[in-house]
Amino acid sequence: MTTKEYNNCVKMHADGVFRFVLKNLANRSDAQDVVQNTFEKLWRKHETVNYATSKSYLFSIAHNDMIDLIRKNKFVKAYENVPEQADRGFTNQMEAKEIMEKGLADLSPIQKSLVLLKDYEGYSYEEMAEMTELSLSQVKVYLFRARKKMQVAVTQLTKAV
Amino acid sequence: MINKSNYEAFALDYLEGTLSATERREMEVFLQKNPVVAAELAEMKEIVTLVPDESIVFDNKNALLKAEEGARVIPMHRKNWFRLSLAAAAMLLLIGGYLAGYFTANMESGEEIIVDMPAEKVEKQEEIKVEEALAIEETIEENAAPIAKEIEKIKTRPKNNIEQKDAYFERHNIDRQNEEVANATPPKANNSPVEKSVSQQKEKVITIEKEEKEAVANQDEKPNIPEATPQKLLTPDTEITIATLPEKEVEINEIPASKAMEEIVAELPQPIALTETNEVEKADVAEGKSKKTLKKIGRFFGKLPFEGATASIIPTYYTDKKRDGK
Repeated sequence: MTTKEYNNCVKMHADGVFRFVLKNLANRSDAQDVVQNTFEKLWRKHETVNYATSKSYLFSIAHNDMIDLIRKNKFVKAYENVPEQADRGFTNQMEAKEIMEKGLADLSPIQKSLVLLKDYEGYSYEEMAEMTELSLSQVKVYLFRARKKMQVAVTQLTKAV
Repeated sequence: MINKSNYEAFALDYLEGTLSATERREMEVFLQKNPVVAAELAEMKEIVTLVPDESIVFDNKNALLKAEEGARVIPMHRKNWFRLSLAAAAMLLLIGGYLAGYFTANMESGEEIIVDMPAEKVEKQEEIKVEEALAIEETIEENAAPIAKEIEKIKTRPKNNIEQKDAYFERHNIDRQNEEVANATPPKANNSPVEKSVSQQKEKVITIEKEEKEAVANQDEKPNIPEATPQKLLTPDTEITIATLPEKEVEINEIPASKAMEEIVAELPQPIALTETNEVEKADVAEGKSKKTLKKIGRFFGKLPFEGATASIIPTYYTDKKRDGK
């Protein structure tokens, strides 16, 4: 792609990539670093990447960097999650959106990525398989389990409200 | 065949209604056999999907942009600002240094530059220029006479080989030999080649002295030199014609092949300095050991560069040695 097309990618997808990464990492500065690294990698290979597939290329890089970062900080994240779970209670004024966010938080990183890619960006199962380097059946299984968990969490939270 | 271990891979497609007819029939058969799973799937009929929060945006998109069409956009962060200001200062210094050098060079060449100079400095500069011009005039006048002499010598230069050798040697040793010849004792009546050549050389010197005296006496005769242009203040535009020597073809005859090496070397005029060396060396020459003699000559005049080197004060066309020393 040309430099102009690269700049178009920045303008169109920087927000989406940032949202996608932020949901997983929950740390704004980490998410910004991942986004910057992702676009830098795209720029380095921009001459060989096709403009039509640039979006999936971006999310693929972002997903891999994100997973690496999560695995590196696994211990820290597990510690951070404890107070969050403790605070998770039942309030009357909980909105659906917040319920959904709570449900998402209980998922594993890969499950979270798949849910976000499907819901936020509308990728197909095949595209997600290519981006996350999983088989098609694996993607479907992970996604089914993620949806099941979220459903259970939402049901429980809704009942409590 | 759909079963408990693989039904999850088909579940989402079943819920979305994208299974093939065959796969859907198999799934329904499985669910009938497994009511718990059927209940789970029933709860998921309305799949909850997440909606992106549009308020979440990436703040620093400009930092990601690249300059289009070759120009590079450098965002003005603090680090970049410092680097850019250093680069700008360096460029200014370079340009300033170049301009200063340009003006300085122009001043030295004498071109007119509109610069306010005090009158004293201007006068001094003019004086210096005049002095330089006069000095050049003097050197030209001084050189005119020697140039005339050279021309005469070239005219009278002998044509055959041996006379050429003598003339060459004379030109290079004439100053040293003048005094020595005047004070030297008459040579012994000896048939050795060295003594013969030395006596020949002395005769030549005496004849040349006579010629010089005649030339001085005949100074009024005009030599064949084009007149120099009238001397005037030197500026870059003035043309100075320096007398040039007329071309004279020097004929160099080849050494006849019949002559032996020893004979040729023996005919060489030996320098006067050789007479001051040992008697042993004279004997060596008499025996025809020309190489040793040449070595000695070299040692007298200076250190030889390396072992086995031969002195090369005699032009190579006197010997049949190749110029590369082999």
